[in-house]
Amino acid sequence: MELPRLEPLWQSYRDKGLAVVAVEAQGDTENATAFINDNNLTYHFLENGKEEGDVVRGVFGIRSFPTSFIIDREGRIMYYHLGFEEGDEEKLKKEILTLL
Amino acid sequence: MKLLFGSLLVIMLALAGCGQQGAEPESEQAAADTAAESAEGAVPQADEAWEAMVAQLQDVETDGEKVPIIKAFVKENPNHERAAYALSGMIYYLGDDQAALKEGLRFSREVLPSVTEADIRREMQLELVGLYGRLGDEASLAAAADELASAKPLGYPEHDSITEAALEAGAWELAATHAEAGLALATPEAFRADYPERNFTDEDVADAVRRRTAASYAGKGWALANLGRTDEALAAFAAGSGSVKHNYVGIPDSPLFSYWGRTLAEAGKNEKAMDMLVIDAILGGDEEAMDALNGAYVAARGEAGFEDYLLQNRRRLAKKIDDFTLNNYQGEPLTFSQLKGQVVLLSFWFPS
Repeated sequence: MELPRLEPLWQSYRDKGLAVVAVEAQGDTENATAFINDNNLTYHFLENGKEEGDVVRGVFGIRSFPTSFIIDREGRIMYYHLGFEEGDEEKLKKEILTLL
Repeated sequence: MKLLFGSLLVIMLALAGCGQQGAEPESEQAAADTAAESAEGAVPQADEAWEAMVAQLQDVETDGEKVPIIKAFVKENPNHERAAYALSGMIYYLGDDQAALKEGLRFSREVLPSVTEADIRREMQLELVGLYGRLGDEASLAAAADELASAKPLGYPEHDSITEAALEAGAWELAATHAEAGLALATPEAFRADYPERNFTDEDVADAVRRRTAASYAGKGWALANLGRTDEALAAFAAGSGSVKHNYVGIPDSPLFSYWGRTLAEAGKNEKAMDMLVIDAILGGDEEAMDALNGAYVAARGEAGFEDYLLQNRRRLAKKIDDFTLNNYQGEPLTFSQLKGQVVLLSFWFPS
């Protein structure tokens, strides 16, 4: 699972201006909060809205998970990543470092 | 190909764990399954054997450890509703190692005789087709395609799997034939006929026909290009290009433009090739498109400046994210634009 691997990444680069935001897509609040607490995750965790407020599908059209965007300081989506395999956090880190 | 199996992984977890459809799969069969489930409002109940396997999968760390767990499940339950699906998951976890793939092939062949359910058997034969493609075994691939066709006329998903495997194996004639046959089935009637027990909305059907059209022209064009029939290939790409859809970020849902650009580069039309390749290379992470883009750039403009060209295009193509507001688990709203000035890693997930 990718989210625990993002915690050290965030801790390392937060002072340089990195923010990490994770949006839970299915409205599974109980399991989401348990997962966040069990893994001591401290970056931004948001609940997706329901129906009209469904940002994940409604705004971004995302139906495959996990999907990640890396957004630069001007709000441009500079990198898109589908899925999460072993070693992918290194790819994300490399892209983030080019933007920080 | 990798993406396809990668998304199978997420659906696998979604089906097993959270009781809602969690992914948009790449393969049409899986897409139809997901659409049907969402139309019916429920995923079929997973049984004990399936759930036990998924629990075991979640207990191990590496992909390699998952393979024997799935093998045991398939061997014990060769006629399970999801046996073929499990087999495809196992193949995903084998990775790209040729020796592991060969062992996967040996296992699949061994299990096939105990599969008596015709539909499951057919799905497993398609998994074999995929393996022959990845192993570059043209002869076995052609034989498997013949065997499938002799049992029952091929539907689109079968033509599509055979085309994809043939493209991977470099069996260009076979790919061209099945892409052409697939194209003939890129119609609403044929789509409904391939999934007779399902109820689809008109929108679902239209999107499926669009995907079929794009995929068939892409495969046909790339096969013809590799057969040296460049003009016909370019005509196929042009015909299919209007059926390609781009996602929110701007990435196309077909390799058509990547194939088109690589064909143009091969024909020496380098500037035009660059225009076709740049999106897949930069946004889509398509390494072959990136190599071809680099080659076309050097041929058209010389050795210097490729990095700058990439950076400029990355900025040009990058979409400005739409603002949104959502609550955190303490009920406090966060508006994305509040993070302005920071680099943001934005991840969409669900607990499995």
